Amino acid sequence: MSDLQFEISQRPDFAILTVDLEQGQRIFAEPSAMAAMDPTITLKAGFKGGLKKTLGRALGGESLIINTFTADRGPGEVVFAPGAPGDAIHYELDRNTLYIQRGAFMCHSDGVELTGKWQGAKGFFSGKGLVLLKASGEGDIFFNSYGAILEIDVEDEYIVDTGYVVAFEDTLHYDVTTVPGMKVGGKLKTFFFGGEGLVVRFSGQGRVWVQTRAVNPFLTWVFPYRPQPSNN
Amino acid sequence: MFDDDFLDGEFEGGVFSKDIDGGRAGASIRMDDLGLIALLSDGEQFFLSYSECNLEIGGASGRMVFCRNDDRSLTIFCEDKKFTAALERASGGELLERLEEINATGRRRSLAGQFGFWGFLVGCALLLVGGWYGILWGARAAVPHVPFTVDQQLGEAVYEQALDEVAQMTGEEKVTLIEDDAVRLPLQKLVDDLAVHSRMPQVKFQVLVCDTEIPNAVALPGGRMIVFRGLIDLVETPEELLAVLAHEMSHVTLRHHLQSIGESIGVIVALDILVGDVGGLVALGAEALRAAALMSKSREHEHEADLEGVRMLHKAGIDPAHAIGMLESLPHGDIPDALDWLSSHPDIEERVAAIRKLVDELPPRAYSPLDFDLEGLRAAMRNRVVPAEDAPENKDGDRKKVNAADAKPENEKREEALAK
Repeated sequence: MSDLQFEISQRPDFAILTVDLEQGQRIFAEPSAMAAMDPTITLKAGFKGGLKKTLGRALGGESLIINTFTADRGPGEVVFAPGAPGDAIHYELDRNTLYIQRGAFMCHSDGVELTGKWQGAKGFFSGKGLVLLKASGEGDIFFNSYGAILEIDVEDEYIVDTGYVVAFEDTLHYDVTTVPGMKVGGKLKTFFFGGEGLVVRFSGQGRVWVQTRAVNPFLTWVFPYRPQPSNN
Repeated sequence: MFDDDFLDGEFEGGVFSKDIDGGRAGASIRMDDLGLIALLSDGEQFFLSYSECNLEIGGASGRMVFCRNDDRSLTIFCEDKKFTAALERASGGELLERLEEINATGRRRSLAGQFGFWGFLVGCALLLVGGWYGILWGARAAVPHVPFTVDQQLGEAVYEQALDEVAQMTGEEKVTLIEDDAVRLPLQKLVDDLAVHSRMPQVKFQVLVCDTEIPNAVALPGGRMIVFRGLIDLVETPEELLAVLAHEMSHVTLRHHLQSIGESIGVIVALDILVGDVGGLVALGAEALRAAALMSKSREHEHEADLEGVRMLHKAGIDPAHAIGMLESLPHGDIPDALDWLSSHPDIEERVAAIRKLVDELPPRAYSPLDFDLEGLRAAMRNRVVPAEDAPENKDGDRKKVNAADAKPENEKREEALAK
C-alpha cells in the first residue's frame, strides 16, 4: 500500500490535490501544476528519465521538464491544481501500467516511470495525438479530467467516444473505430474530416476513466456566443 | 519470495479477484506441476490449476496473457514474453492446444501491428507525395484563369526588392542601372523582335541594364527584365545573348512566377490543414512567396523555359543550337557564388540533353545569323555617359558628366579580365 498522504478536495468541479510529504519524500509534477506549498519544500526543475522518456512525455502532450518537490527542510504540504476545470483522480500503480490521455497528467510519486506510447494510426485517426502517456511501476499517480469523472470497470466490452477517455488500465485491449452501425458515407466523412463519431472500443477486463465533458463539444457550444469584431 | 521447487522462475504480472480490495493487484507469478501461483505484495496467495485454466490474449499491448477459471472469479495475467513458453513446459502439454492458438493470435496481431505501422507510414508518404503533386497541378491549372495584369502588378510590387537583391549579389548598397539609350535600346529592340514569336505576343517586355559584372539576367513577372552587364561581356555571339534572353522571357510568358506563388500558397494551406496552427510558418510562407515572385527557379520551370526559349528562337529563324553552345561554354563544376545565373541552374548536362532532343525534333528550316552589333553594344557600354551623381568628384569637390571608362576604371579592368 502507498504511504503517500494526500487529499483531493473541491471535487468534482474544481478539484485540488493536497499532498503531505514526509521529511525527504518527493513528488514529481508538471510545471505550473503547483498552486501552493510549505516553505519546507524545495523545488527542482529538470529532465527526468533520459532523452527517450523525456521525448515520449513531450509527444504525449506533457512538458519536457518535470518539477521535483522534495520535503528537504522538514515535512510539508504541496497543493497541485490541474489546468482544466474538473476532477482529479488518484491511482496506485502496483507493478502495472496505466495509459493516460495527453494533457491529463498531474503528478506522481517515486517508483513511477512516465513516458510515451506510440499508438500510430490509432492516435492519428482518433485526433488525440499519436502518443499516449504511459505510467508504469509501483507508486502513486494523479491525473485530471475536464468535468467530473466516471470510473467504469469493464468486464467484457465497452465503447467510449475518443474525446471522453481520460485513462485506462493496461489489461484492456483497445481499438479506435467508428460508432457501430455507422453507414459507409458517415465513416468516410469521419475518416477525412476527423474525429466526429470516432470511439475507442475497449475489450477485456480493466478500468476506464471517462470524463463527463469533452473540450471540443464545449468549444462548439460556446462558439456562437463569442464576441464579434465591430466595424463601428 | 517463492521456494526453489517452482519451475521456470518468476514473472511480474497481476491478479483480478473479488477477494482483493479494488479487485486487482500486481503479483509475482510462478508455476508448479499443478498450476499457477500468484503472490501479492501483502503476502496473499492465489492458485489456479492448469486443468481449470482458460487462456486469453489481449491487453493494451495485445500480448498480455490472461489465465482465468471457469466462472471468471480469478484471473492471473502476465505480459512477459517468456510466460507462454514457461506455461507450456510447466503444464506438461495440458494447455498446449490453447497456447498454440493464443501464440498464433499474438503473431497475427504482431503482424497486423507491423503491417499497420508500415501501412500508416506508406499511407502518409503517399498522401504527402500526392498532396504535393496535387498542389503543383492545382497551381498550374489555376494560373491561366488569372488575368496577366496580376503578373504586371506583382512585377511592380517586387521591382524595388529585385534591384536590392541584385545589389546584394555584389555587395553594393544600390544597383546602378545603365539608362544610356545607346545601351538599352538595342537590347530592347532585340527583345521586342523576339517577343512576337512568344506564346504571349501581347506582353510588352521592358529591358533594363544594370552595371553589374555578374553574368546574369532576371525576368520579373509582368515583363520587366534586368540584363546584367556581365552577361553582355561574357557571351561570344549575339545569338548566345538572345538565347539567354529567350529563356528569361519564357519564364514570363509561361507565368512561372505566379505558378510558384500558387504552389507556395498551396503548401501553406496544406500545412494549415494538416498541422493546424501554423502561425510561425505563415511568416516563413510570406518569405517564400516573396522569393518565389522574384526568382522562379524550380527545376521543372527551368526545363520549360529552356524548351520554350528554343521554340522562340526557332520561330524567329535563329539557330537554337546557340542555347546549347551558351550552356556548354559556361564553366561547370566549381562555379563562383557570383555566377548566380549558373548556380541556380545546376543540372546543365540534363538541360543540354533536353534542348538537344527538342532541336532534333524541330522541323528543319534555314537559320540566319542575328543582325546585332554586339561589339557596338559593348563599346556603347564602355563609353556611356554616366549621370553626374555617379561620377567621381574632382579636386574642387564638383561632379561632372564623364564617360564610363573614366568614371569606373576598376570596373573596366574587371571587364577586360573577364573578356579575356
